[in-house]
Amino acid sequence: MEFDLDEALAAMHRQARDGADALPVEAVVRRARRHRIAKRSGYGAVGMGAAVALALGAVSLAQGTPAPVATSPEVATTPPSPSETPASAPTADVTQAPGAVGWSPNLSRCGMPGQTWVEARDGSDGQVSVINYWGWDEATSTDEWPTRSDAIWVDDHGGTTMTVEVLDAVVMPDGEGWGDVVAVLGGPVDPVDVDVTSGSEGGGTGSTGLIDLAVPLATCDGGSTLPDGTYTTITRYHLTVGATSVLVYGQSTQYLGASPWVNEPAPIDVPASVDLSAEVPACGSRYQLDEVHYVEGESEPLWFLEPLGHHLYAPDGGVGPWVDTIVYGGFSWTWSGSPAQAGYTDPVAVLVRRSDGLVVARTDLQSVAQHWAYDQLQVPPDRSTAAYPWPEVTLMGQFNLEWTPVGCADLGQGIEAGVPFDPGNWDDDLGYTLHVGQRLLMDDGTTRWFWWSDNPNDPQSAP
Amino acid sequence: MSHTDEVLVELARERGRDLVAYAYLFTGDHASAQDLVQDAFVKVFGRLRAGFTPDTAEAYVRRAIATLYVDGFRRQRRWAERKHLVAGAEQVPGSAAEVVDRVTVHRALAGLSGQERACVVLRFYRDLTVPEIAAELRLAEGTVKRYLSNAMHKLEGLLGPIAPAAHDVVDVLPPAEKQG
Repeated sequence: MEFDLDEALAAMHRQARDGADALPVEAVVRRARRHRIAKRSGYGAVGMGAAVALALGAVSLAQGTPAPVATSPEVATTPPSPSETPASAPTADVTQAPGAVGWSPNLSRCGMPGQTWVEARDGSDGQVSVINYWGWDEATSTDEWPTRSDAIWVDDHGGTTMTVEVLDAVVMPDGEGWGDVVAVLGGPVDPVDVDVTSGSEGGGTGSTGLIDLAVPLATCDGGSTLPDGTYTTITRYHLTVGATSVLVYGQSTQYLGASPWVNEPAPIDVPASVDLSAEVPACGSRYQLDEVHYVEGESEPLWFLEPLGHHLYAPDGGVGPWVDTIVYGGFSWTWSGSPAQAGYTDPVAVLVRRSDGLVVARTDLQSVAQHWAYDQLQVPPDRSTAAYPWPEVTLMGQFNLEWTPVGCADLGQGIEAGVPFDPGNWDDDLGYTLHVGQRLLMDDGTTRWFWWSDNPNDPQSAP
Repeated sequence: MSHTDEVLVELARERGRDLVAYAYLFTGDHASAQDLVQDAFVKVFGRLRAGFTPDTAEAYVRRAIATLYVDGFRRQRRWAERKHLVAGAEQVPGSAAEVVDRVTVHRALAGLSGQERACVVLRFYRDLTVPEIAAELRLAEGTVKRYLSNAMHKLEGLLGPIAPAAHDVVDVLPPAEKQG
């Protein structure tokens, strides 16, 4: 007798539906709005990280070196066994920020599963109008061990001051599962007042505040640092805006240790400015997407290219004119394979292709200073290639896309980034798709273009 | 409220539970399914979209659920792995035989990689063809076939022979494996 997997999944769906909680609609609306605002303001998921880095720079200037690691080797550091770990979230009993007097790291957390912290955040998310939107999985950022920093979105408090108090922090190895705690908050952190700025878009409003403070950490074994590897840090904050207070959690991942580059990268002679005229389909040409070179996992290793912070607006019910095009932000790449393929991305090209293949707009000359990062992993500034030690790697990069605005003068059209865009003579009978391509220099010395496309009216190209 | 937000609200209210249940097929637990659906909403509605209706938006959200699940599988798996260390097994109503079946299916699905599970859900729950799955997950058809083939081997190890999906599995398994 054969097992009916169709029916089994259908039954599972029915069961899940019966037990499903309703979606928190208002919270989702707020998140979506903030997402738009973040993109609009340049604070994409990656952009936020860059903003935090700037904030950290300010901290360094204002506060000097980060707080030293507070270690207590005299305290017993033997981690408790998992079976001794309390079932409830251990964070629930922490209600006060550490005071400066008599403060010592809470090493009793060492060895307990970090998951207990993960679960504890549920009760604070979306319950009040101050939400750690970015803090969970999108925008917290770390600087160098043993300190870290966070960025936090708040809601509807623009123009006010938010007080941020660090209550606790734990560090655990990052890997296949949430690891056990290997480091904890290492010292007291004075509350910080953060100015909250506002933004709005599409009827939504939101605010953002950047927490520019350094959180000291202490290792469980009393050492000055942790073994090389990737670690996740979860920090608990107490935010106060006016009379409203809330507990929020921030998470970040960072890589510690020597350069993870397998081989010392060899510099490659790449001109700062690249004439794309020979490589990007010309204005007025008929450009057909090459499946082999089209991003979206068509080949191994898998590549996913997604411009972050990309906006392409079209009015209701039609193709043109598009009234606003903003292209900036980062690309998220994921590739797998063992060994992982090397490569870096250099020229970025943007073109608009009509559905019949006609290129109606494109970049011309490209000069982009790119910044790539895998958490703490910085791609060498010489943009050299290297192989990565991980069989699967996600790279996220962020840069400002600046491109020669007019690409197809013969068609009387032009594109500019960040300003209203109305070429005026679109053919309403045809669709238009924006393509963003990146040229990659592979480790074998060859170059390949990978393209990402988006057409807001084409379900096949979004999200 | 913008048009985009109006569509979001209508879709979330009218189809929210169905979408969470759909996400549950991927994640295997309610909390992660809720997170996944909310993230999918944010991804889809995180940009203003012209001409959106709840129906068209739902297609986007379903696709985002699948792609976000695959992209974030490792994170999701971390959640799933630790969930049951601190929380009891979710209650499964029904007769004893039904419970055994569901638990077995849960266990069998949990043994799949994220990509394999996503392919199985799309194939057997949504009855998509291999090309449709490839388009949905942005994978090559050959890759989808490989995931499905691997998944079927794993599932049949626990569930026994599995009836073909609505679409014949001829294009999924290579001949030698089908004969075996």
